[in-house]
Amino acid sequence: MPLKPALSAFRPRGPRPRQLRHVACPNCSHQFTISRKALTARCPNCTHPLAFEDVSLAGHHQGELSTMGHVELPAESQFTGKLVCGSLHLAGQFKGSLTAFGPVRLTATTPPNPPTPLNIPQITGSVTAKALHAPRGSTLTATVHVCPKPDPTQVAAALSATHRLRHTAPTYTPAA
Amino acid sequence: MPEPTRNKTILGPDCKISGELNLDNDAVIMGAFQGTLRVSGTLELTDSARVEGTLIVGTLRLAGHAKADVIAEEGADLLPGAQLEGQLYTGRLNVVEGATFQGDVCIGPKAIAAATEAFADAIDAVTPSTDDMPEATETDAVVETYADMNAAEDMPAVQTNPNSVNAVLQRRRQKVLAARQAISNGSA
Repeated sequence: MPLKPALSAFRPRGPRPRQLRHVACPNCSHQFTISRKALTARCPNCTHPLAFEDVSLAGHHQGELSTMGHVELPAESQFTGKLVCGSLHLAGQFKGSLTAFGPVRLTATTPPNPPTPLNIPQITGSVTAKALHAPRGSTLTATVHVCPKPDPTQVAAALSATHRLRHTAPTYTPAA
Repeated sequence: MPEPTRNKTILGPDCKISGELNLDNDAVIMGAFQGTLRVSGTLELTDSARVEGTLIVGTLRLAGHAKADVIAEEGADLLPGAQLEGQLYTGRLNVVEGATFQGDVCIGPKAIAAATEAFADAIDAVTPSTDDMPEATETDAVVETYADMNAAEDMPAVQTNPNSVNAVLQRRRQKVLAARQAISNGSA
């Protein structure tokens, strides 16, 4: 009499993602991994919906942008307004309120690019982040709050903004 | 070419200092400090350090707790477990994950100039100058008398360290009195 195979043998399983991203839930600080291509996910601990859209902002932008993904402001770029992101890589200029649930890195101008006022990394306003790296050559004039666990009030604001991003497009508007 | 060896001042975990401290080398603080601290080199605050007041340093490496206004001319590194609350003026800043910092930050080429204006009183109070020396007192007159007496007797002049004048006077006051008594006895 043949043995009956287990049901798990017939359960379809998707391929394991080749590239992973380590993220942290802003609501419960639970750290988990998702596929690098994933745009949305739910926290396996608290089931909060999260959007992980990576954004690269070249040029001049003004408004509000929220995503739990990685945001990059390259050289010669400017952003004015409110920014909520998972992590930030800044080589341009930022003016406003910044909340990052991961590290914020300012990158000084590389030698091939001559230093001009627009390619010097600069932050003016308020910064809330998990880690902050501002090398020599960058400019930072801000009220800074760096802590391992985010402030609950800012988490609530960020989550509401993330929900808006989930249903609508990013709310930034290019400058004229 | 190897870097020249620098002295390092270490204050242990049981050390508690209050006031003004000016160190012209590197320093490691493991205990508690309250006041104004100026270190020309690298200041390391270990995880057991508790600092309050004003820090004027070359480079700051913080792993303990500090509630102070900091001027770090070269840069500041906040290590895991560090807690800093106050204003920070520096040329570069590195706050790693696990550190806590809350306050106003000014980083850039003009940060030190802005800090000099903001903390002019603290910088002037810490930096010693000859203008701050008190006027000549009776103890100074005693030193001059003793120096003249030594010159008359072809003895080597008294070598005093300006930074420890009070300590030298305390230790040699008895010798001056004994020498005066010997002179008076000889003339009699």
